[in-house]
Amino acid sequence: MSNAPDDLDLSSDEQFARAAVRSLPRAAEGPSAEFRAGLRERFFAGSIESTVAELPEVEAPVAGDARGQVLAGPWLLRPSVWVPLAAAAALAFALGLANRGPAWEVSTATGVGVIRIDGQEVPAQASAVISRLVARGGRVQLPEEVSIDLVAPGFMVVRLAAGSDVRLSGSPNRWIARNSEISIESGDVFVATGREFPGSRLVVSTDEARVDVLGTSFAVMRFGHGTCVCVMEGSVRVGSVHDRSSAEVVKGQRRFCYADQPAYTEVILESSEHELHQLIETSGAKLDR
Amino acid sequence: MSDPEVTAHSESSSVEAGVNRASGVGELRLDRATLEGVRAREPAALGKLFDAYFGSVFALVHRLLGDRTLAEDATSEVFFKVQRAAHSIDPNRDPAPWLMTIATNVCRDLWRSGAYRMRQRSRSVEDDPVVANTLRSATEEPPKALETAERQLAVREALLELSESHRVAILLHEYEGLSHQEVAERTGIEHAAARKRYSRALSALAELLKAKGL
Repeated sequence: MSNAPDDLDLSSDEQFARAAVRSLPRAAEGPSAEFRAGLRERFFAGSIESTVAELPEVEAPVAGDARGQVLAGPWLLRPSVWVPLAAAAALAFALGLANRGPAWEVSTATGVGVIRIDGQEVPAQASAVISRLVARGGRVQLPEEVSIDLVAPGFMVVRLAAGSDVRLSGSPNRWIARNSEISIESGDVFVATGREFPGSRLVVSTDEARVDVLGTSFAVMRFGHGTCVCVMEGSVRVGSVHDRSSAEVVKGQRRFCYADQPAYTEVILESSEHELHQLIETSGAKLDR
Repeated sequence: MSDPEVTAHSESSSVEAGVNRASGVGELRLDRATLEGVRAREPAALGKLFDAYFGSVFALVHRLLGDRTLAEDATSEVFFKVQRAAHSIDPNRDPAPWLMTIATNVCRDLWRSGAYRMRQRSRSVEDDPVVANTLRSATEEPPKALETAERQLAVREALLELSESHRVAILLHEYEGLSHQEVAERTGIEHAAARKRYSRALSALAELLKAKGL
């Protein structure tokens, strides 16, 4: 309240925070009369249902602060009950958080255009927004002019080539359930793993192929009714959906899987190798290699 | 907490200060008999409670969530919780801080939930006319509107990360337009303590904002 006399001695930090609080816009319009009337009726009738299933149902009273005005109520509100429960929940929550792998973040974005992330359109230049939206995975659709490198620091870097349509999960967890998955609808994906990756599992899948990765750098390219898996370092196991074959593809090899013919392996193309080299040169530092 | 309709119609006089002094919040305080009625779940008393606080609950959660649909969900959740806990309300104290605590807890839980993230993800830029216009008109540099949206997101996060007493101190003063004396009366502390708490709350908020790169 800038008009209140007792606000005049605010420090610069406090003024900065106050300005930030006041910067949040008010609702341009209020709730609809229909919503208000409906909620009022249900409030009277005691028939409001929780809209957020996972929210806790009771507020714990704490003496001396705003919640202290709630009088002692059900047994769940007793500190002897909720304090240990809250501590256990907090511990489980903290362990869950600590176990989570790093968030995906944009390492490099090339080209100008609009990227769709789970249906939301974002300019390719807005790296911070893209990083936030894709932090724990999602569907990424790139226009023909844009390619991006996503890095999970220490774990892996993924280059989504221009025009790709890809779904990716969060990066692998640190200790438990260290699985990660990339599903390619169309386009090319280049992957290089980092120092933290061993012990994790990455599956890259298309309609024709399934690639199990244990630590390597490789590319999966989707074209027409086929998929090509190119390996630059280490090895991967490639399963073909059509002939149900499973083959190990090692450094310097590529394997083709088709929707309607048997899979086969041959020597990797120089251009693919070059792209993977470039990816590692660009983002290798973030992989702690 | 401020009256919704009054809030909506007093924008021009209060935007600069970021508060709603015209809402007459003092007049909204429910008397002891009404609060006793709320405890007993009497329809007339519940109606007064709802009418007195519905709008300000919506205004607060909208400000903290920045999305009308989510704000309606959150408002519904707040009154669901109020309904469940009506028997435990203290008729000797103003319920505004309690409602505010419930509302901010609901917002914080929504923030942490997948629902909020999914909603944010599924929102089209066309939902925000400012962002949409900027995207249409400027393609050479990152839109300013996106930066503003990011900044508001960080402020909301920081507000919800504050301790409860700090957050209530700021929200009552800044968004409900209460003086420190009124905040003191409603939270049951001395005027000097309310002033000091507000100051400490702003300092803590400034730290959080700086940590977020603002």
